[in-house]
Amino acid sequence: MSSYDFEQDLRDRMRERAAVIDRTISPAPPLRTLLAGRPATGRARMSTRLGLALAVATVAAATVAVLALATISGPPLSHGLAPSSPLSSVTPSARPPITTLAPTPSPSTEPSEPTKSPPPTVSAGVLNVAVASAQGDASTLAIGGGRTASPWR
Amino acid sequence: LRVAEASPARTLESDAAFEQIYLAAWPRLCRYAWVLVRHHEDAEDVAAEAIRRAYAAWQSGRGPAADPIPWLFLIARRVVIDRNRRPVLPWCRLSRADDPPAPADSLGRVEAAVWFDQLRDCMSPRQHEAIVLRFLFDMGDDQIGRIMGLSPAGVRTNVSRGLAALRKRPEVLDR
Repeated sequence: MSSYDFEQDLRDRMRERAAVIDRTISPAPPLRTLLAGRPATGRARMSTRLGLALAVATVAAATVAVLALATISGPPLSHGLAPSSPLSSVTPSARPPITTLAPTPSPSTEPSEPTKSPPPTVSAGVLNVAVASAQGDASTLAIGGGRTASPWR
Repeated sequence: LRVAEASPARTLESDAAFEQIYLAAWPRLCRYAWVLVRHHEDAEDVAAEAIRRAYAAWQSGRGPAADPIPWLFLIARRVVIDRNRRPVLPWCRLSRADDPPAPADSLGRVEAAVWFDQLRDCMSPRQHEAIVLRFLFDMGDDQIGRIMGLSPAGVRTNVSRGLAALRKRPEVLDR
C-alpha cells in the first residue's frame, strides 16, 4: 500500500466516523440566545430541565408528606364527642389509666448525717399546748372504736 | 457625535458578519469539541462557550486575522483546557477523551468513540490531535500550528510520527 493510499484510507475512515457524530449535533441556536448565556445547548440545557423536574418532584413529595403527617399525627381533640357535649359526660373509660408507681428506694435517700443546727428553743408554755393537742388526737381515735380513722372517709 | 452615529450601523454590520461565521462554523466547531471531550452535550457546551468568547473578542477588535475556523478552534481548545483545570465537583466536571462513552449515546456514536479511542491509543495526544486536524478537518501546517501552539515543522513531525505509529498497527483502521 502506498503512502498516499494509506493517508486517503485514514481520511475516509475518519470522515465516515465523524459523519455519525455530525448527524447528532443540534442545529445552531440563534446567536442572540447563545450570547445571552441562556442554556440553550448541551449539558447546560439538560441540567436546567433536570433541575426543573427535580424541583417539581420535591415540591410534590413535600406536599404529600405534609398531608400524610397531618392525617397520621392524631385524631382531633373532640374525638367521639359531639362538639356541644359537656365535659362531665366523658365516660371514665375514656380517661387515660393512671399508672401507679411503686416507691423505689433511691440510693440518694440514704440517711445522711444531719446537719448540725442549733437546738430549737421552745418555751415551756408552747410545749404544754403541743402535748395537750397530741393527747386530744389520741382520744379521738379511741372514740372511733379503735379503728384507724382516715381523713378521706 | 460622529462615532455615536456611526457605531450602531457598524455594530449591526459586524454582528451580521459574525453571525455568518458562527452559522458556518457551528457543525465543525461541535465536531472538533467532540473530538476533544468525547461527550455530546459537553461538546455543545464547549462550542457555545467558544462562540461567546469569540464574540467578545470580535467586539473588542480582536477578530481572526484570516480564516476564522482555526481561530474558533483555538478558542474551543482553550475552553477545554480551562474547564479541565478548574476545580469542580466530580459529577460536574467536563468529560475527557479517555472517559467511557455516555450511556445515552447511540450505538453509532459509541462505535465512533471507540474507533477514535483506538486511534489515540496508538500515538501520543499531540500526534493524535495533529492527525485529526490534518485528515478530518483538512487543515494546513500553519493552521494546525496556530491551534496547537507549534511551528509548522513541529506539526509535520507530529503528523509523520503519528502516521508511522498507525502504519505499525493497520488493524486499528479496520475496526
